[in-house]
Amino acid sequence: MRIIAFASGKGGVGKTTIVANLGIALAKQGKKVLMVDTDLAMANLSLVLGMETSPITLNDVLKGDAGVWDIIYDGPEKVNIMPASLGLQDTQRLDLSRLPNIIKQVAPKYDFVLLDCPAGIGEDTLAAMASSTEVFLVVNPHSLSIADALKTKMAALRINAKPVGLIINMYAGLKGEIPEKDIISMLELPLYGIVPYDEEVRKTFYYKKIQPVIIRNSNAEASRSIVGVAGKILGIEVSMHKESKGFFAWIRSLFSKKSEE
Amino acid sequence: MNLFSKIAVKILGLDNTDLPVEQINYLKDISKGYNIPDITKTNFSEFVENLMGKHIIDGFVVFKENSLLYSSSSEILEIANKLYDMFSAFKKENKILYFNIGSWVSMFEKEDFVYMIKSEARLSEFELTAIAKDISCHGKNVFLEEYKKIMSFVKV
Repeated sequence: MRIIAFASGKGGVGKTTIVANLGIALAKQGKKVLMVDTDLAMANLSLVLGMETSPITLNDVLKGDAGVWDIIYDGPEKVNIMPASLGLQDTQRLDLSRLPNIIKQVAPKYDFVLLDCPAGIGEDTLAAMASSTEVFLVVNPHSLSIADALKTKMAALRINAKPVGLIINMYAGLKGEIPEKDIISMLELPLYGIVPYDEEVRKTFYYKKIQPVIIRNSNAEASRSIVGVAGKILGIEVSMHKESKGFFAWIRSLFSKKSEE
Repeated sequence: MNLFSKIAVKILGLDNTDLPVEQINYLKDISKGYNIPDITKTNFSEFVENLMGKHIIDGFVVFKENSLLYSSSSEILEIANKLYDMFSAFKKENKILYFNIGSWVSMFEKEDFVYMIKSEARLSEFELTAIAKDISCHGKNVFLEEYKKIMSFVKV
């Protein structure tokens, strides 16, 4: 049983999207997966998974108003979800110190428990990292994200949590992006995968029913990369390639297709 | 960028971005500077120094059953003497008592020891638990030895 916290420091790097899709990718490999939204103030995980509002949430358990087994819901591809509340009033009088025990209680039923951490290194993020057996950092290839990820890694080490890996998200292949070798050397963590910037991911939020990209379009570049990350987490090495964009890349692709034929 | 350049960039998929080299170098320097010391028990004074460096704290005091076992400085011991009675009067199981005396003093009981931690920032329960774990993991034997000495003295 592995309890993995996904943290970034900076908001908007795509943590929740990575957690949602990775959870499904692991479930497709036959693993029992629970995803927990530990972003108690700005919960999004259930929305990304296209779930309807959940009447009882992790916020209620942390307030002592509900039991832990009451807040486990069925999600897509047989994953289980422990959502947080979408309401502002539910962010008050939460006893965060209970989170590690709540996670410990449910974890033995699963192969993987994925914790979607809030942005920042506040008490809620520390609570999630303290509940985990390992921490993954999700970063975008720019200096703002890396600076925040560095602080997050240090905060994790100070509470004796274990940062073990790195996922680079929204990699667009631009010259101005910090190369992966530099990101790896700055954060001193092994790379578990590069998930490219993919319009297909953004589009998943603009349908009548939101669905993670790995379900809506399993052939999308981002979906395939996330399957690669899942493989690496499971100990299977999957090679990934980067596709360049633009007119010349298109011309090149025509020739390469011809030569393949 | 004029209109034609914009169109050219869009159609030809040109990449007009550039690496922020200065920022990268700055981050690399920060990354090197972020050095979390290893907590080892080889040398006790080294352990205390590393512990305070790792957790960014100004000092700590350890008690057991109203007996002082260790204090990282005489200044913090003075604060501890002033606050210990108050802590004893108000303490609750698994609860932390915070005192704001310009900096923060956190007092709590964990596995038979009472810890007092002084820090610039108000530390969360998770940070304090980690500090207590590190202190207990590497200093427990030293503290218990001290406790035995105190107890034998009391008996005499």
